[in-house]
Amino acid sequence: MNKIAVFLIADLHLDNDPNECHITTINHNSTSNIHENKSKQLLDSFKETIIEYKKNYEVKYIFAGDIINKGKTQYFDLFDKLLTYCEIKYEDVLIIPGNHDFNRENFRRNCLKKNGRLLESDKDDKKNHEFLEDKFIDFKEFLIGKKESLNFENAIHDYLITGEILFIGLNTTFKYDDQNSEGYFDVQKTENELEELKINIEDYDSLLKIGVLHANIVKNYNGEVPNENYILSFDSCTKIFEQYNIEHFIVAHNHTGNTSQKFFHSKYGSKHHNLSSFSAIPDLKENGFSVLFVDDCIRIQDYNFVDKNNGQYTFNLSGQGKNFVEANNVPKKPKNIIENELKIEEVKNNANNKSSAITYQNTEKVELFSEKLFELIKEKNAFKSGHFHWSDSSRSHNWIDIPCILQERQSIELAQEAIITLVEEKKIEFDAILSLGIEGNIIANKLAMNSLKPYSFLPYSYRYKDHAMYEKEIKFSDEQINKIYKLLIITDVVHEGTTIMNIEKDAVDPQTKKLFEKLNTINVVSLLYTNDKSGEKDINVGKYKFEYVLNLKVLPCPYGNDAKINCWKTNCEIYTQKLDKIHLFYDDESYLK
Amino acid sequence: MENVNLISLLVYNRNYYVSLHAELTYSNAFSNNFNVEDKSKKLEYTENSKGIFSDYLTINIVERVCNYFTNKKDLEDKKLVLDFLHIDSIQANFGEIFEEFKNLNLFKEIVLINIPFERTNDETKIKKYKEINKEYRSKDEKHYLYYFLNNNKSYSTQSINNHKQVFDIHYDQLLKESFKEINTAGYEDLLSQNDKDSILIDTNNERWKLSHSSSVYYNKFIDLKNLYTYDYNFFILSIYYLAIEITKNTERDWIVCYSSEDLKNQEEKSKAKYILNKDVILFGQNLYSSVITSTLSAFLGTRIMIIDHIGPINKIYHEIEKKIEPNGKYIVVADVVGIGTEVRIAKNIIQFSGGRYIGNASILRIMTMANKTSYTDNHALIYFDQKKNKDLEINFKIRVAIEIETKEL
Repeated sequence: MNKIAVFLIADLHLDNDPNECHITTINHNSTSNIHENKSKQLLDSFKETIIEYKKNYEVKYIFAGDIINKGKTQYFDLFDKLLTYCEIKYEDVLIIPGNHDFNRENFRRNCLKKNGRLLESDKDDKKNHEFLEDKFIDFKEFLIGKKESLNFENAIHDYLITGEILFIGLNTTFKYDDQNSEGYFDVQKTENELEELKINIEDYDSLLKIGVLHANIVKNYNGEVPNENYILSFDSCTKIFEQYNIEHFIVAHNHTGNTSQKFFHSKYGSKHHNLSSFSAIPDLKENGFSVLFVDDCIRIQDYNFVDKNNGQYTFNLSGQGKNFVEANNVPKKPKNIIENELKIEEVKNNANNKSSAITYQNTEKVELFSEKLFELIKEKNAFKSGHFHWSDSSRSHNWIDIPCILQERQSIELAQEAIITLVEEKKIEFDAILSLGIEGNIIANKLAMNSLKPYSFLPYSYRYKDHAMYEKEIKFSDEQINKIYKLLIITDVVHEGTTIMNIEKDAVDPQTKKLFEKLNTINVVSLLYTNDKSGEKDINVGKYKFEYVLNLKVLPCPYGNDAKINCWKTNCEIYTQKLDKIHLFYDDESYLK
Repeated sequence: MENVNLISLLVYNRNYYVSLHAELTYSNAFSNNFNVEDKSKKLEYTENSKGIFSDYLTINIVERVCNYFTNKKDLEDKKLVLDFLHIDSIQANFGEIFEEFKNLNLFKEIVLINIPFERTNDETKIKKYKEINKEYRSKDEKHYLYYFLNNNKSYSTQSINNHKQVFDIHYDQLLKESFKEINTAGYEDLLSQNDKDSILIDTNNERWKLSHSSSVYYNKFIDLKNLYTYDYNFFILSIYYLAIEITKNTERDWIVCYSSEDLKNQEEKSKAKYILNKDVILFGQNLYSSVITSTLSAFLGTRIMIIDHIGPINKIYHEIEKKIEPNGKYIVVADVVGIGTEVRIAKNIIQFSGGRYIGNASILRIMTMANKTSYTDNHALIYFDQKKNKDLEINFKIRVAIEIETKEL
């Protein structure tokens, strides 16, 4: 069984008044049959949900604070009863203490005794730390023999590893006192302990890290603006979380008016989940719990209280749930496969940063794009090997899969911005833009948008057979053509420039012919130049001038380059003897046979 | 001064219309998202563009609009309409900039419409909007339309009760008429203008031509390439409206997801700002659609996938099955959708390869026998219904072989 489900429960306040706390079966103060009946139904419903999940999942539990209300030993027994009733073992539980789990009376008493006065949360920083043990003395005592891994004084209370997920219980209780319930991170302690955790947990890097915390961090429940120390502590800690790859958070303490959600939302958006209160809110319908489970992605499903109006109370599944961690961020492969993949990655990463295959002869600014483009080609495995016969004039032993790198928004922007930068840096002047093929259309889009110059596009000339007549027309009006002296052609890859030179030769419409006849200058800008750089001079002939972002050489087909037309059909050993996988893109019916 | 380009500028008679949100979107989508200033570091992509989901009007956009008109002449008898639709909040010093612009007395009248006055409960924002027109706001303070007159070279303002009082022609009418004024660039008009032959291509000597991608015959192509070459600004504006069209139906959870804090109940949905679900991928299937797909993706912030190519001649070059993502939600993008064969081919490829087809988007959709409500998966800028647009007389017909045999051929 490797499917994981984690029950997320917070703010139980089990010793509250029965009118405010709905799980009262286990509450020794319960005086009403109505309360008993209602809470038994709710507990049974909770228990049934657990049983249901246990059929298909390995189930774990996180109690994210405020288990009880007054922090006294005798009330913690209620929690013990709840676990027993629902058949939950302590070993399957991660507990994060909340502001109601410390014994305020004890704390006050000890404080006066040792300190002579009560603490002031913002002034008594160090002392607050000294009294941490006093705060949770009852809770600690209760957990002896049950859950001794929970550490109240540390920045990381405890952690739980299940499947490929590491839940980290974060301590926000440092400044709790009898007045203050605002959460606060101890920045230095958090950093030190995360480092320690990283060293101690062998698979730390490959596990998905989710932080769990109880308290709101900035606003207290009256919505007052907090001391800036609190904000600083959060800001500093978010940087540390980033450093230790903790990107997702589960936050409790949401049943008061102003909670952490806005604040956490501003930083983590959909990467944080606010837990409902389990039983503490007088308005029943706002109570509930959540279940996090691992499928393709990691999803969180909410269960909310439902009053069926006939004396029947249950927790029911609410809504469709939400994706908490996207599929591509979920580590779920068996370790041996991951290790193998890592080895391949390692080889890739150890490759020289600046390959000798690429040469740059551009401005510094364009070179930044060249490097980034090269990285992208590497990352996407876009440099293909095989035997590619595109057309009579385009046959090679490598191919760069440009459509594959023009998918993500940032890759598209990279390509578009690279073209714009090249045009600007090389001070290329033009009166109109013509892009070639689908790829040309995508990479020219931004320049066309910004330049205000007439814009048109044509298919690659060697694929004219595959296009309707009207697609091959340039559609510039006579008036426009009269004003165009310098044309800018944008395409993805140039090798010998044949495709470009053939536009004029293969033109099917009078407007294209008319335009090319009168042009003084044709600047061709491409993302890639795939020929040997020594061939560059040969293609800069007449009115044609070529510029490119990156020179990445590909090997041309070594056979069938004789003067005889189409002799490769019989002379290309790779094709005739099937020495390699042949990629056929050629629109020649006899060839395809 | 730099050459300012306003993509949303529409001109009709004495009316100038500018959509500030379209300008904001355009500016965001096509501004530089790479930080290349720090040469010690490698290029880093900063994903700061929210595309059409931006609703915060920054001063640089207002300045661009103002600068565009500052050096223009002969505007004294013209009316300028600035539309705030889809803008949620405005940068603090808007009032100052606008006041300066107003005091230039360039236009006879300036009208601000759709100011986000009623759409917010935020006191600071309300205060800010009030400052825009502190003295002359309407009595009930609810109308969000401001009107500035330039009489005797000095502006006065006038509170208004409804749209019609302000415009000689209604706002919607203004938009519609403006489209017409742009002559060959207005889509519906493109089909009715004198040069319609460049858009509507006869199939030359053959009276009926067999469609390559389906077993139907048609007498004309509708070719929108002229639109791209003639007025690229108008093309961009059209794509902006297409992007709005795709996202405006907030009920379609498969397209949008809510970016505000997790919404607990349905009522709050209407107030929520939404962003496009990041699983959405725009699927371009030919040369023409690649231009639209690329621009649309800049506005929506979506990924794209291009298959070369499904139409008009059906010829696929690449191995496609590996590229379709199982969790991907695909919107097929086209220039013109007739009976939808190419969209269906694309849909089949997507679904066969394990992706999910969630709809199609096109500039023009030809209405066939079914009415508009039947096209539940379709987002189009213009639904063209020959029956309702008889005056256009484009005589665009699609026929099946059996009909041709018995009637025409």
